[in-house]
Amino acid sequence: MTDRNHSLQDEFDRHFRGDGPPPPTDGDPEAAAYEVVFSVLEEEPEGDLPDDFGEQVANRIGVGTEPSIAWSDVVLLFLLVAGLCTTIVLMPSSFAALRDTMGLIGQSVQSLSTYVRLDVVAAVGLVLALTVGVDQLLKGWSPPRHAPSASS
Amino acid sequence: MSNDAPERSERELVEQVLDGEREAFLAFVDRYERLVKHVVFRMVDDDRDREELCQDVFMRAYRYLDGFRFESKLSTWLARIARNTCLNHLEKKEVPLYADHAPAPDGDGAPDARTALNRIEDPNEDVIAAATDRERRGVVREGIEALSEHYRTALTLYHLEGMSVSQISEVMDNPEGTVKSHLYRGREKLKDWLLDRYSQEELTL
Repeated sequence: MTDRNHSLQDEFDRHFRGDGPPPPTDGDPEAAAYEVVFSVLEEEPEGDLPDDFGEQVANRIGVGTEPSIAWSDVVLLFLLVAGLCTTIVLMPSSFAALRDTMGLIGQSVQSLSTYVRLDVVAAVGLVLALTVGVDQLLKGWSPPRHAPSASS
Repeated sequence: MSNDAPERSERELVEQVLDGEREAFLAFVDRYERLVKHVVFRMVDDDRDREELCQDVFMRAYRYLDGFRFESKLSTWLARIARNTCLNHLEKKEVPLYADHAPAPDGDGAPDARTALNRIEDPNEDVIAAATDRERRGVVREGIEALSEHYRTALTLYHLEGMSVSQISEVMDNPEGTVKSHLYRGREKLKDWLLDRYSQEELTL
């Protein structure tokens, strides 16, 4: 590139950034051509995006929309209701039978040694703690994301 | 839609978008729509693909936004995504990225034609001047479309977005010296393209 080209470009660049007069173009085809080039480079490209472009993208991504029905929740609710109905249907008809059953369980527990009872309590506690831990872990986990690289 | 509060910083906007706030996402699109449009519309000539590509850029930005570390300006990061999205698209379509017009041959009959650029002496000067100006601009636009991708991108980010050479070098992953060279060489090619085309038209008159 010649110094002439370089200096013409610098002058037009300053001019189009509002910092100085344009170089004279009369009788100077190079300067006249650069004037057109700079002018077109500052032009908006032809064509436009629709007015609701942002809405379209937001809808396509689903930003801020209510989450769709979680079918796992529906299944869980169904199982709870079904379990409740089954319990009501199969429940002993009298409270006396229920009381007998509870008494039997109490006697069985009484017959266990202290060590066995402690083991049972510890095992139940451990299972509960593990369940809560796994639940928290699954809630906090999400697939790793990576920023796009230059080549992607 | 341009009701984005001016005081909302990039960080606030990003955090709100990541929180899933629709209004913040719309403001995000509104703020950077022009930038994305400039890059995509200058890089991709096919009208049918442009709008979808602009959407793809914002979708990718949304997808990767939680990986943005504020180490650069959001506009720089987004321009980079826009450019990469377009490059992927052009590669898929097998559009040549480096097939710009050759520099104008040195001076083949140019002097007369070049003088013609400034030779408008006619009673209907205004009408002719306007028509000539429109025509010249059209020729330069064709020249831009014929430029290699790296010239187009550098010129678009510099002239339309007002980005600094350092920002452009970050977007294009090129040293600043290379970006400056793209800018000067790109403009020179357009100038030569214009002069060359005018000489051809003048010869056929």
